[in-house]
Amino acid sequence: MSFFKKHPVITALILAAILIFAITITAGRKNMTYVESGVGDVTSVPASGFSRFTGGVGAWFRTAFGVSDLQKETAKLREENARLNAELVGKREQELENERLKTMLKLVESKTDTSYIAARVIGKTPGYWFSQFSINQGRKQGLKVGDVVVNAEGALVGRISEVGGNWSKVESIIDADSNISAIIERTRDDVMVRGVATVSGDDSQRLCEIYTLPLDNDLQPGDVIVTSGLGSMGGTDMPKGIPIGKVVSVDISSASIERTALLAPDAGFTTLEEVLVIVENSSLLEVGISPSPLPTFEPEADRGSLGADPAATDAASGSVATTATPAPTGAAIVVESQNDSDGALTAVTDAGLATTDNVTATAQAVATAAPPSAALAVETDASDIDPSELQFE
Amino acid sequence: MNFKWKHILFYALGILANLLLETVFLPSYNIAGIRPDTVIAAVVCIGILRGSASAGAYGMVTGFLIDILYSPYMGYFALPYSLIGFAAGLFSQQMYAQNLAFPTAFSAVATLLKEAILGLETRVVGYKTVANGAFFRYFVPEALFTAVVTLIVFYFLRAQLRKQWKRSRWEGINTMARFDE
Repeated sequence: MSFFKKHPVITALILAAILIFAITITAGRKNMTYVESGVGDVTSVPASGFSRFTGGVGAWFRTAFGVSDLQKETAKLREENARLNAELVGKREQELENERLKTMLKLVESKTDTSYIAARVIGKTPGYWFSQFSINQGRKQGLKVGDVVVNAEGALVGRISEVGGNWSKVESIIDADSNISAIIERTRDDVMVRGVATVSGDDSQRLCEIYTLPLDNDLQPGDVIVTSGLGSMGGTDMPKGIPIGKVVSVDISSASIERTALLAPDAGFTTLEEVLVIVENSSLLEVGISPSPLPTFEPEADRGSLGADPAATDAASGSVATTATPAPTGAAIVVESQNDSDGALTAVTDAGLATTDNVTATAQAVATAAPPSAALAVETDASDIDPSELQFE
Repeated sequence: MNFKWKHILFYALGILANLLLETVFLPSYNIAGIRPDTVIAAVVCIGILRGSASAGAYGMVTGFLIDILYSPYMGYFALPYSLIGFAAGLFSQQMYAQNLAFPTAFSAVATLLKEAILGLETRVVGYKTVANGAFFRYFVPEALFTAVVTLIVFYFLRAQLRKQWKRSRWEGINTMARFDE
């Protein structure tokens, strides 16, 4: 210890080398260590409390100095405007979607079985270069890396970049590390949207950049950009149709083979206090949280053959279990057969207009292809199907 | 509680206060997006009053906590804060504690240096960076704001450390007296 105290310059150089090494090895990683998670669990408690306190003090001052009425009205109008815009975008998206789907042999897109978890923003990056923040929900609440974060109006905020026990780091879409696969709502062209490390003290002034834009593209200021539903460069799939923002300017210089444009995000980052995290219900169930009433159905034993040899099915303890979860729109039927010894065979059918016939037909198809000893499980998240009505032959 | 533990508690509370100010309070309450760097203010004051080891350790621990909670990678904030702490400590034996101009000027320069290091780190790791006009729009006002905060922190920290030192000295004398008896 005395050496380090006597030679501060050498100590500083050694420390700098260690920290530079730490930066290079931790850049781009997606999982935090247990030590980081634990430290975050401890420090996020006072941070969460202080966040509530400062929010409360700020609200009190605004009320005390009488500026709240006008601000409230402006905020209310802004909120309403944002909500109406989001609804309009959603409706336009639905109309376009309907038109496409009509031409696609009545196939309806499957919707993933998801829930929303509300979280409070407990702190933000102090610097000007990056824009990340932490929320007070983590692994124990069912969150995982890649989960999508939206604001109260449904505009895209970012996604979970690292997850701790009771807290998570969120990489916002304006962050330099962010990369999202998107589509231009009007032209349906695929583009990529990334954050740029633009120095700004005010996150509301920060913009995203649209790239991989072909030269002949007709992108115009005011065009709405939404998520494409495809996997982005971060490796996570985002639900389709979440509004990201509007185009503010298009770079028309032809110096490059592709054009770029600037995008103003719909989500207001400076005033962000609460967010919603879109999580898969399966993640919630893994941590013992029930996302919604989950009726389970155990059919009678004599229904459990499904076209396979009854003896073999019994041997593989082939009880047919059906679970049904209410789905808001559309429906997906998942039929899977499991066989530990011969390898699992899984079949998935997207049946938007789900009927009992669909289930039966798909189940029969799987049962035919399944090895004789396969145990078959039928799972459906179709809201309009009563599991007790399912017939297996 | 002896002098050493009081010292540790004092620094721990300082780190917690710095963390909450930097990541919770100042991102919401600032002047047109300009906010002072309270960690630099604390690190520079500790460096000048207590030396390189204390300031470097303070900067590193605070930086690492910010890195854990809010940074894309470890060491991003710990590197500039600890280096500035060590640099400030080099002047601890050469400046009079009564001199308020030096810590104020030093913290302003240190703030600009911190932004340069952060920008370099961002670039080195591979991100596209845009800092057009940021020097006069953000960095210089931030440096001046930090200098003002440093002046206040230095004044109170100096008074606090002096009080602690006097008390410990008095306790030490009493202990020696009891020992002599």
